[in-house]
Amino acid sequence: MNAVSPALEVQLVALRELRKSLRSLKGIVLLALTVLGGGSVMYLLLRVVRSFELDELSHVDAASVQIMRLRAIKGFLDSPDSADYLTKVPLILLLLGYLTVSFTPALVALAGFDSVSGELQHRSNRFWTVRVRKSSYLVGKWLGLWIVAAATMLPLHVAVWIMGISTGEITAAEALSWGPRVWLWWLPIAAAWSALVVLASSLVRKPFFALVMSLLGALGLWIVSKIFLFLGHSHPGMERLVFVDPSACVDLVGSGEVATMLVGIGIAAAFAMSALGLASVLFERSDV
Amino acid sequence: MSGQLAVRLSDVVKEFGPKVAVGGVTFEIPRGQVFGLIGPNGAGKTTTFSILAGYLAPTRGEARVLDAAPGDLAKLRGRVGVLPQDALLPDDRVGQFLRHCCRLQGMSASQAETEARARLDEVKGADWWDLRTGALSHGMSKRVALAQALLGNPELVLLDEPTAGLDPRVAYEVRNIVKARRGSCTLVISSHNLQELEEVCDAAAILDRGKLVGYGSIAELTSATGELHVELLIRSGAPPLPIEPLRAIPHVKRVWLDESKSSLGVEFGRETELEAVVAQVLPILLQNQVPIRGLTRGRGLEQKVMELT
Repeated sequence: MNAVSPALEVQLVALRELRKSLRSLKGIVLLALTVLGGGSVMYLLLRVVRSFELDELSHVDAASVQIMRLRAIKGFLDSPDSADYLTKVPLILLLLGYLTVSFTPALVALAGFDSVSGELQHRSNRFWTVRVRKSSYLVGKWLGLWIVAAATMLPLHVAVWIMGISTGEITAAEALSWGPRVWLWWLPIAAAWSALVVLASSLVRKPFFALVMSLLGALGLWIVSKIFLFLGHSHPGMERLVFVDPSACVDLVGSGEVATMLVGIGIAAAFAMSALGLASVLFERSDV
Repeated sequence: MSGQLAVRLSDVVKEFGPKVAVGGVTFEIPRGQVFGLIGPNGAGKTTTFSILAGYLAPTRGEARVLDAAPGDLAKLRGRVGVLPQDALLPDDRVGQFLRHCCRLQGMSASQAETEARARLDEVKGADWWDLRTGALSHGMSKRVALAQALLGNPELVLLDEPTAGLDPRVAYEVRNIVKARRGSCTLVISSHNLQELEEVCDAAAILDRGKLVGYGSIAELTSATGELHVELLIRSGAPPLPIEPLRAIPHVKRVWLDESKSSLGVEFGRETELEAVVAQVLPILLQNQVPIRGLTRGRGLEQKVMELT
């Protein structure tokens, strides 16, 4: 009766997190904000791009537009090699993908900043530590947060697919072909950020500090990543360190090549495991 | 560690930076006993309790519960129940919280449901199943926390201040729940309420400033020096008390009058049986027409703790 595997512990903790998050006011507000806010931003972005195309590119032929688009994407990407493949992605879904990646640190931080710190603050975790391994507790929290983030983002993606189809931006076939792929590319990135938020949340007892740490951590990693990218111009090889920011992995995950995609997933997974490993070691040694 | 012991602390030290919260505490608790952890604020009893519960790791020394290190879930899952003192119940519905605890203890979904409902019923909270934990009063929260400590009928139950802040009726009910568990498991109760501990405990450890200053059965603690207390009805114009004849009784070491309590104390050597002392003290008092309201053996736990801390 008392044998509980770590996998079952993780499952139970994650399921409780899901149940709590998806029924909580915070979860509902976050979902509404994501869908309405994200949908609005997408709509505006699309209008700006289309307006630019109509005003500035109306006299340019389609092939030239495609070349310009490729250059634009290459300029935007940390890994220009993926640009060729990404030009095939319908613009609305490409914009959606990058919007999603850009907002992931904030979304995940808001969804999970109090997942551990909230229980540390009120010592509620004392009810758990006599029943569940601390590492399973953290991994369960991470898994729950990751699934919550994924479940929160999926409705936005579906809404944008519908918006794209209804405005004629994409066909239903494109939406069903590329839409899920763009969402799936984002999942490893969300996993990595979820682990970082769980790490931050397990280090402090005040949820507010966990939120600040998560957001500052994301900003710090983004800055460091950009510094490595900049240094890469004068010191070849340095640009590979851009992946200290897990969001940069999206260029690899969305490259269209299986090997490169696996490298991207691997980097994001390594990031997640490192953050969770560190959180587990520190949490295991800490008093509750 | 002998299988007869539920708890063993060997020279346990817990330091928080420069502050020594527990400084070399050693005691053992046999299985099946109701054991009290006693001491004033800052005595180290909650720290000691937290070490037993696995919340805190000792800085030095060794703590063992049920032949395992506290926090060793592989050996202790479901065998130790803990009621933490100041931990807030996690935000959830009462039933779901208890059921989740059961599931984490290794019960199937149906077992968890049955067990959670049974324990909630035991703490007279059967109607609270669907309430949110945040909506519970202090007394209700305490009883739900007690219910979670009793889930799965653990071999060792650790209760930190189980009746603190409760109204007398709820405190009485909680005491009855604890008493009903007597004999079926080992209970360790950390409390300020000395009368309550004296009522329910078989033995106790008294802590003061992180040190163990008293340890033994309640009978030993309350009569360690061999004392007889005679409650008197003091009236004006009453004849003087026969202090000198009482002092002359063999093995009596000290006789004193506590006027504030209308009580006459007689301290005697432990080699003498209480009954023998009573047989000699009473005739002297009666011969001198001293009105007697009652006799009590030894000292109350409260008095003992006051002396030691």
